[in-house]
Amino acid sequence: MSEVTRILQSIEAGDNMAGGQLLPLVYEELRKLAASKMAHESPGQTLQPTALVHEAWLRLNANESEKWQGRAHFFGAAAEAMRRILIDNARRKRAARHGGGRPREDILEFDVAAPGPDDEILAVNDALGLLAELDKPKADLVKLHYFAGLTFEESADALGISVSTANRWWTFCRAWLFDQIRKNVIS
Amino acid sequence: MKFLARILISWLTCAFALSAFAWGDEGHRTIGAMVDTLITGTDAASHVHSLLGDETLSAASVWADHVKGRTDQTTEMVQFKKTNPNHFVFHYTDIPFEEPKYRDDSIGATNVDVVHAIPACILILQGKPESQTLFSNVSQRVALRLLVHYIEDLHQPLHAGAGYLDKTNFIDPNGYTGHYEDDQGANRLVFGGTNKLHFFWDVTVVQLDMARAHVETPQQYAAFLLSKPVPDWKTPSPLLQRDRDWANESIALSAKVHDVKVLDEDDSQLDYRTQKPRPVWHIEELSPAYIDWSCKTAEDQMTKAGYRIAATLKEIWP
Repeated sequence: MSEVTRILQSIEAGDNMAGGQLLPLVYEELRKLAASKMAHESPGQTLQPTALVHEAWLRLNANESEKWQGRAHFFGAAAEAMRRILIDNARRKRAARHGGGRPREDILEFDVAAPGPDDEILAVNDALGLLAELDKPKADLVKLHYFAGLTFEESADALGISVSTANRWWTFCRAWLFDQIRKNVIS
Repeated sequence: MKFLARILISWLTCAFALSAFAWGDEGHRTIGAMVDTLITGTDAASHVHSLLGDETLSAASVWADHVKGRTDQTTEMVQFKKTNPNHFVFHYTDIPFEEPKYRDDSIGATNVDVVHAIPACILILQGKPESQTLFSNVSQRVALRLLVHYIEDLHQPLHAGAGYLDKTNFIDPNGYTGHYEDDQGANRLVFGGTNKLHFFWDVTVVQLDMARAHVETPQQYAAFLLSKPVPDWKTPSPLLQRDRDWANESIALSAKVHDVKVLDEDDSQLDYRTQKPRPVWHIEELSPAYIDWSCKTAEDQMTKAGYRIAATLKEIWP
């Protein structure tokens, strides 16, 4: 049994602490997966976050019999991990652009396709924190759909909501984030 | 920061846009939900129920837009389109926003525009035989759906007022001798590359205001709007002419909606219907003040529409 499966089963069994153990594992797996893919790709290749998340799920659960179990928790952790990776990349690129440090080889260790320009990703991320305080499930949807690139069907499945609710939430989140970001920009 | 503002508004106006009809689905359903509440327990509600059955006015209020589509068409929709092939034009009028009021002989007014469609619906609901001059073979059930929708449309300023431009200058085409083109209710005014100002007013502004109110559904939004102080919605004109007053209000608002700086004219675009060259105009990014005013105005207009539709139904069925 893989470590991820063990943790997922603990979460399913009601172990609240297990959730915290899942994120670093998934984060590391996504980074390793991206690095290994880049080693076999031609320079300039851009990795798709959705593909990475799905492949990480398959790799970490390849030999388990109950593959479906804990899928929602896994995707939640993967979305958070992907958000961190994209934010790290955006910050590094911004720092390099602004002369915040000499270019390092590992800055573009791998390039994950971002959902938008760096400024947008960082602005969405800043506003997302406030949304999470007000309405965590909706903030989770933004992570799943915007940062991890999951479809509405996949996001709805991970959150345990209907697809129409996911669509409605996304409409709300998009408008709410826009408004919040605009306020942040003005201030 | 201007760059960020541009990408964000594009994000909001383009991505996953589902509907580009006046007020969008959310706005129409919201006004309909307000009316459902406002007529509860009245004779009007009984008549509405006898015509629509379990279909609420919230649901009925999007029928006139959905009939424009190609999917999920009911027999009733197919029949309506067959006998009323020009139904697209019933939703709006294009009075130059410089005009102080709606008049039948203005450029942009037609005898099949929204100002004529609303009284025609009322006449059908009143059972008047002369009512089928504008529509063809429209039942009372369909007329009710159309009436609710058209009154909602008329309260979207860009469904009443339009801009007419000579190069990059707005002009009043009535009596104008130079060459001009109309902006089709700001459908041909774009900002941030491809975002239509009309779409912003149809959809984006409603979604933005819903997010500000922290509501998700039309029913929640309707409750939010009804919880606010009642606006000054009453109009003294006779029932069949009242929509002209509403049009006048919208035309005046459309002048403010058009208070945007036109940057340049782009002649490379084709009209999507005729495939002939037709210009679009690029306008300046929408300022935060403009966006805030838009939200407030949309809220006011939707609320007025709700009260006015309820009053209209109560007058048809006292």
